[in-house]
Amino acid sequence: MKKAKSNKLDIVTLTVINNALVNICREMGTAMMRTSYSPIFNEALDFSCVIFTPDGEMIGQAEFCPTMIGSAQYAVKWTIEELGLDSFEPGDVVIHNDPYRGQCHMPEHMVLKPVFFGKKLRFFVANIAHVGEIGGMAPGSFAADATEVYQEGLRLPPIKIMRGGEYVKDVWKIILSNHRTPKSSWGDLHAMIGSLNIAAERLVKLLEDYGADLLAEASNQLLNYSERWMRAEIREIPDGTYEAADCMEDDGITDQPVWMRLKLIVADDEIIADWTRSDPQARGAINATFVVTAAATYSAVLHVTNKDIPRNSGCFRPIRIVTKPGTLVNVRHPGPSVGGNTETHPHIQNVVVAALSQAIPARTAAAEGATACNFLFGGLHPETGEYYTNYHFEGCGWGGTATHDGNSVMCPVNGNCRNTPVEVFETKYPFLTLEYSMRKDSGGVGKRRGGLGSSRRLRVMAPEITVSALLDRTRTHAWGLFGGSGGTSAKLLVKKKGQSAFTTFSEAFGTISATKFTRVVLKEGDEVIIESPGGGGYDPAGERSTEDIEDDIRQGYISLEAAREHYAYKR
Amino acid sequence: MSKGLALRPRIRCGIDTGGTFTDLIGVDDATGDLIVGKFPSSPRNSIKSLVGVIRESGLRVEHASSIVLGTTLGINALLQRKGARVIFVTTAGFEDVLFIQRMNRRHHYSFEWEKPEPLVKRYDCLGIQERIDARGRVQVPLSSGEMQRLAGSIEERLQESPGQDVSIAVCLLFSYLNPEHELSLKKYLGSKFPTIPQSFSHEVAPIWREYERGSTTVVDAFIKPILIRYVASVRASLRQLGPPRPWTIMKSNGGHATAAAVERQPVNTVLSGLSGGIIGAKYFGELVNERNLVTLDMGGTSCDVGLVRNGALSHVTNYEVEWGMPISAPFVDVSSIGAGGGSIARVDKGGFLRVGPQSAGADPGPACYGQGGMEATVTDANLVLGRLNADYFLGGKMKLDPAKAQTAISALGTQMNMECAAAAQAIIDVADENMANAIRVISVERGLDPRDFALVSFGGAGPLHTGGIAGKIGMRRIVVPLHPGLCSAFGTLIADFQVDKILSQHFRSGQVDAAVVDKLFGKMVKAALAELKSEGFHGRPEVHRSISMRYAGQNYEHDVKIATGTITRQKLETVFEEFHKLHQKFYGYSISREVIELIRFNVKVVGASQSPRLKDVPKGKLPAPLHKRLVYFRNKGYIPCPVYSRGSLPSGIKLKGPAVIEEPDSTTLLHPGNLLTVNRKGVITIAL
Amino acid sequence: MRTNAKAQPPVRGRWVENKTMWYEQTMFYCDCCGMLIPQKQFVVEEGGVQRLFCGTNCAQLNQKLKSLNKRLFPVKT
Repeated sequence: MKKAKSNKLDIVTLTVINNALVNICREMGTAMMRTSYSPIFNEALDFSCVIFTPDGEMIGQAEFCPTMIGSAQYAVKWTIEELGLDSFEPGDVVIHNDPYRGQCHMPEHMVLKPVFFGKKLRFFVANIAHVGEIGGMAPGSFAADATEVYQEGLRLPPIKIMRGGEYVKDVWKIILSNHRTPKSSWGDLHAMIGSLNIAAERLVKLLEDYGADLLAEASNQLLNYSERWMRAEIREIPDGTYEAADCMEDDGITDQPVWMRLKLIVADDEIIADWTRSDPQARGAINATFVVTAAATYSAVLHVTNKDIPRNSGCFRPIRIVTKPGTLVNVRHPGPSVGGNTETHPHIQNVVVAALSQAIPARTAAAEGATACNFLFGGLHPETGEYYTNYHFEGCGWGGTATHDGNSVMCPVNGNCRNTPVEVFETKYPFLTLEYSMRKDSGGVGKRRGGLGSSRRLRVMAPEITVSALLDRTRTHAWGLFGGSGGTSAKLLVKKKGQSAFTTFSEAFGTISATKFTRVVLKEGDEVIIESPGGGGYDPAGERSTEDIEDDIRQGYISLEAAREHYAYKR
Repeated sequence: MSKGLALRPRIRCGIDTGGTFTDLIGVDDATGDLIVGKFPSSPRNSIKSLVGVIRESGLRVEHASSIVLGTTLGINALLQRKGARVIFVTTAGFEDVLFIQRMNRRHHYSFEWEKPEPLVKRYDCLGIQERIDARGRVQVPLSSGEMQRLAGSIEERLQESPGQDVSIAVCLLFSYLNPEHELSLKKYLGSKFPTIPQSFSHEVAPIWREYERGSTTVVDAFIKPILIRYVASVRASLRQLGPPRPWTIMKSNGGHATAAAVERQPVNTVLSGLSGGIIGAKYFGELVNERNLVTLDMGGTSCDVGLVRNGALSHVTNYEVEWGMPISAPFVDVSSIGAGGGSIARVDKGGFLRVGPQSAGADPGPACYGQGGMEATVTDANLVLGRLNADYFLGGKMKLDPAKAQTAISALGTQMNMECAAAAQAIIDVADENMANAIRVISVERGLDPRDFALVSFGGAGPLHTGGIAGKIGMRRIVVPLHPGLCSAFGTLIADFQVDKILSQHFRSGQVDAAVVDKLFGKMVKAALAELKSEGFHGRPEVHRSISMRYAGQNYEHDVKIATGTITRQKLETVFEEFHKLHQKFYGYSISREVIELIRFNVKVVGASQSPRLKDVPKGKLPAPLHKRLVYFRNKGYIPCPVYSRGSLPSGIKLKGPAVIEEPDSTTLLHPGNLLTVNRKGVITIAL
Repeated sequence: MRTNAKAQPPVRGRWVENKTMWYEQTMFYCDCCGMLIPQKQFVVEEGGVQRLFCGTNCAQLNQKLKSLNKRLFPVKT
């Protein structure tokens, strides 16, 4: 049953088309999850699916990974501009993972496909996903001590991986020879490309139903619609300049904090995030790419504005990002960036929120732990003799808000991954977990308490395991707001077999940084403790109700001593 | 309808408790006659509605050969969080499993969202010193001293809540591999606290992932006291109404549970009744030779969608009661969408029209119910468009007020710059599109194209919306069952007996011992058959065995069936070959010589129940319509439409739309140009 | 990216093609937002210096920022 081809664009048709575009992106993502090889897709949902106009405007996206709203917007647009519209033919698929050209960091690969109808290019469909292993100096492609992009893995500028529906075999061969687990890459790339084909089919059906001209007009109207609405939201934020800053405590190479500094200007219906006074980029891999900074800034604004605004390029037009290349928030070639996405990213988001809290306090939250406590390991499994690697991370406490305590043990704001259950972890990897719990008293003190961080204790059960780590917030705190205090810091500790006390990795193994290092070899019986940070508190502790304090004590979130000391609890 | 003339028990009965109504439908196996009843549900007194609907239908309990009940007690207790105080016992160091959960959040950009609260308090999460590792070896033994210490902590808590329901849920790490510590605890706690209901994870859900297993065990313990009491009341009520008849409660997987089974493991009945709809739909689909179906059950609050492939339902082992509350148990694969007759339509801040998921429910209900509801709902839109008959809603039991519907819809129309009818049509369009979208995603998730399927629509509102939804997706055939509003209850009464057993065990294809696998399956099949027998099935059961497997490193597993007979190395090799082929077909590639991981063993035993033979509907000519009324169709406006009573339609007729077919529990809308036929048994099919 | 730039005096500049060869690895960055410029650069003369922008929007934002910094917005920390 064909729909009438008319140019009538009433609000209902627009709604239906918008929903159809979002649904196609959802189908893309569902297909990808179903057919992918790596757990990254299914468990971590570390991917994003988008639809673009030929002009490079995003008109549809499904929300699988929050990080990628930055790269989704820019990677596709830049690729289209760089290659030129004329270079795309039916059946082509372009791939790239270049962090300077719009990816959050090297593991993230974009595949892009043009959709033709009536011999003309009408849409682009793309997805961006984290490919687990891409070569480089460290297995799992997380080189915490990289100082150049060349060490981080195989970098692909925008190139065709499929041409006219056929494999460009030379490109595949190069990719598969440079990844340590080529089967995984093969499987995941197939899943990604397969889902693009499904999306293209659906778009062709939509074009048949509505006609190309009407859809182009609808796309335009949807973009303007979102832009207008976002501008209306921004107008409600008091004009002014709001400053906030935070630092990464070190970069793994040099023991110096590196600062990000924000001047957030709200001018009528625009927000300008001026990051230009941030420190020069670090030598180590904690630099953020431009799109990471964009994504983090957008994320903060999306948290405090109406959730119904359709997420397309239009809604991001009134949010301007201003950076200097060569700084922490916009790494310049050939600076490394792999850690910038998981570690620096949430800090950037929190800084924007801190700035916004000066303008619209009730809608914001205190800082979160902002570190995924990345802990990577690998080795030969003593039972199977096979090589294994794993990229392990933790959840942290989130900050309290005006109305409720912060959530405990949550994935940092830039991701939305699930943890690995202990039973799955120990079935696959030679560790014994002695504890995995929430840390009492780790939430920042306040009327609304910060969320708790976690504590995990592992014992090595293999002759050798090689470990790397990349975390932050061991010497700084997730700050509180409006009288709330900061959450407790993170800890990464180790105890060699036979020792009596836990120490840092620097003290035990001489690593330059206690929190950012690679290739430390642990032996059987060694133990590791990973403690994630708590979130900040909101509003003064003195205002917390006695009822809440007593429930916290009874349920074990805070100790009686802490209640007496910080909350002036008298009983 | 021979209500009182049956001489011996031969009426099979299904009773389905819904949010608003309790439905009863019975089939006389001798004559094929149907007996029906509908009675308002009392959320606080399920026995009242049970007795009420039996009396209202006229059924004499002594004529019932079997009664199968679908109950929403379990799911309601969970949704309303009104259950037992659960004391959760786990391995020391892991007491926070239920609080940490899986670390992810429901919304990407929200500071307002709060992590779901577990059903237990942190204070009630107790750890004991014991430890079993990933190979099932004991790392820390469980001492009697520890058990005594635990008993002391439990006793403390029992003292705190006299008169309150309390239960115990035990979930130790790796108990699915080696249950010896849980068994010791079961013995000890069973004797120490004989009156306190207890649930043990290796029995409730022998799968890996400690959070999902723990959560499921807690759900079991949480609802246990309520279900135990329910079972006792059902026994008592049925005794009031007549001599004892065999009765069971529908399980979430579509099978039957005896009273004893429900008391022991109530978690299996959480979605009791939900599976009834899809089972009923499958039956009616088969009556018109459709074996590939999308089933759509649209009621007042929600819409449930299922898939039947080649005449078989799918099952899943996971269900989220609400976001973040997973239950690992066998379920019929049905997805719920928040779209129903009561779904509220509103214009959002940006001017987009949104329909649902908020619902006006049954109270106050849609504006046209005249109970004080002011918001425009889907039912109001249907009334304004003439698709519903104000005087015949629920067979005339309830009068709708068209003026109130008009007011609500017009108010919304003003916000959209649309006049009333256009606004009502817009609401229907958006609602239908929401359901069509959900069906598309559900199909893609399973690698299917919905256009290859027929759409079976039922529930109070399903047949009214089905034409629009099928059209949007591009489906060509619609099936409307007999008594569509009672299809769930019908499915309940015809459901097969079914027992599912699953067990998480991890093997690698290069190192797996066929003898071990054979023994493992042997134990599972034996246990399943015993349970099937205890549920009341005494015939020849079908036994299905499958292994869930995936390539090492992958995350998504597939079930591969394994043929009957002893499991040899040869047989396993065949299964692995099968998996490579399946992978190739599904994903477009396979990886030869790659290690396959076997991660779960599944046994399903089915006792087929007798398929009812309904009476034939006599042939005849199309009767005169009851009346004509104006019905609005997009691009046509209000056009006169003949209205027929379903009961008056003979079989063999062909009717071209537009038309309306009314019956007491539902209304079918036939769009202009679509062709409706009635088959020998009275089932309606519509060709688009 | 288009913006609703109202009452902004248009910035005078010209579009220039990025003339690097396909095998070269040179990268150009916008002088306002710091983004990579893929192909066409919008060049503006500013006091004898050539400024590169990724588009007219950034050229205008550059102007706007200068005037915003001169205005006395309350600076809250």
